[in-house]
Amino acid sequence: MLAVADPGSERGLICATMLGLVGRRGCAELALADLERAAGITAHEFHAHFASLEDCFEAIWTEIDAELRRRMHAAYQAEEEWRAGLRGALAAAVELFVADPPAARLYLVEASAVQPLRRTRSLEALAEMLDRAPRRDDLPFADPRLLAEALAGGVWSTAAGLVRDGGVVALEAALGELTYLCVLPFCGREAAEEELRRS
Amino acid sequence: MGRYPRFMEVLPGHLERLPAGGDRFQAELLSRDQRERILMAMFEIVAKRGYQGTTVELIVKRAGVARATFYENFENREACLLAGFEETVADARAQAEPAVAAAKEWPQKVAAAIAALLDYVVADPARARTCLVETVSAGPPALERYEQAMASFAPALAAGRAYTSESARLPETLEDSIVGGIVWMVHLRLQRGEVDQIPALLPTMLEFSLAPYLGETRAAEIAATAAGFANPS
Repeated sequence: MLAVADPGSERGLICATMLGLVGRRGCAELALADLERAAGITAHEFHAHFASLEDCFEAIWTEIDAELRRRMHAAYQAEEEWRAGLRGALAAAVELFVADPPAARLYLVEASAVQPLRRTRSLEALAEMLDRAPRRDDLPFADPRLLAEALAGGVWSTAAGLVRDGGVVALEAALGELTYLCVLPFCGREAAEEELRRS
Repeated sequence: MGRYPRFMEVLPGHLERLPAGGDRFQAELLSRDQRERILMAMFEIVAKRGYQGTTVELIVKRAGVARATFYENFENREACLLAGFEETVADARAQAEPAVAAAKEWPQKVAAAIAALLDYVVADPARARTCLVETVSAGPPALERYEQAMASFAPALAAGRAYTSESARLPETLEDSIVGGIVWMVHLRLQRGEVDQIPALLPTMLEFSLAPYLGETRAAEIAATAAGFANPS
């Protein structure tokens, strides 16, 4: 459970309710009155913690992002080899989302509701991890840093599409595909196909 | 840029009003021009303020048309954005078509299409920013249309599977990932106001798009000739 959504406090209860509502039906049609009704709070009580629904959304998104980055970083650091570390980091991300489907939807599918720069920083962190891939002498790519950026964008948009259309089950099933995408340019086809076979 | 009537390209900061016409032809022309001016103004304002910061009031003021004229053309702000998005997708495709048709092989067709897309973005960053960055935060119908447009590029990429050796395995989501990666690279530059850097992305985009099908070496060879994929139109 996310600390920000611990229903033991009023703030946590609001966040847990928000997470549940967004997880079920997205942000677009959500009104403050829906949240107040579902959480059993008044507008006054809501505004004691958040300036707006957007503010509440952003607080939850930011915590998911921090937790995601923490887990991915730890999994990456736990391995000596880059490829194993990357695989572990992606698996850690998928594990977090599978354990909390509403968080997956809020973080990935509804990400456009968050400040664009926050999402950019998150993708930059993934790109940095990809950019640490060992440089092969025979790697012909002109700019591996830019390639890492494209890969990060590809992983994100695919993960968001999978969760939107098939839920976290689809995301979990595609872990090997996402790893393949990232491994292929840096480690070659054979290594990438090994990642596909793992899933 | 050549995409709008000449009178629109030479307008000063404030868009001027067209003289009202008396006959039906002139009325139609006026209506069409007004619609285009509204769309142009919408692109400009959404790119500058974001979709959430854009109002019909701001659009009509910038376009130099009456509020009633806006509502004669569009039901509301969202309908205006969706219409602009649809026209842009069709326009970008039309602009890419000559170069894609002229290319003989699939890898060159992909290269021509991506090069044309980048040309299009650089020629009108406000329109591109509106469609690629802001549309996703404009509500479910806009997001759905955006997703459909992105998905529509996947089949052209999937044709590359025929170029892959029979023993090779490719992920089902590969094409979605490639489209997502390319769009993200453009998105990032539009968001940061680094439009001048967009043309230089082409070689990496080609390596990224072609390597899964052709192998890294062949993809890099094609990417190295990226300058030759300029749109002839």
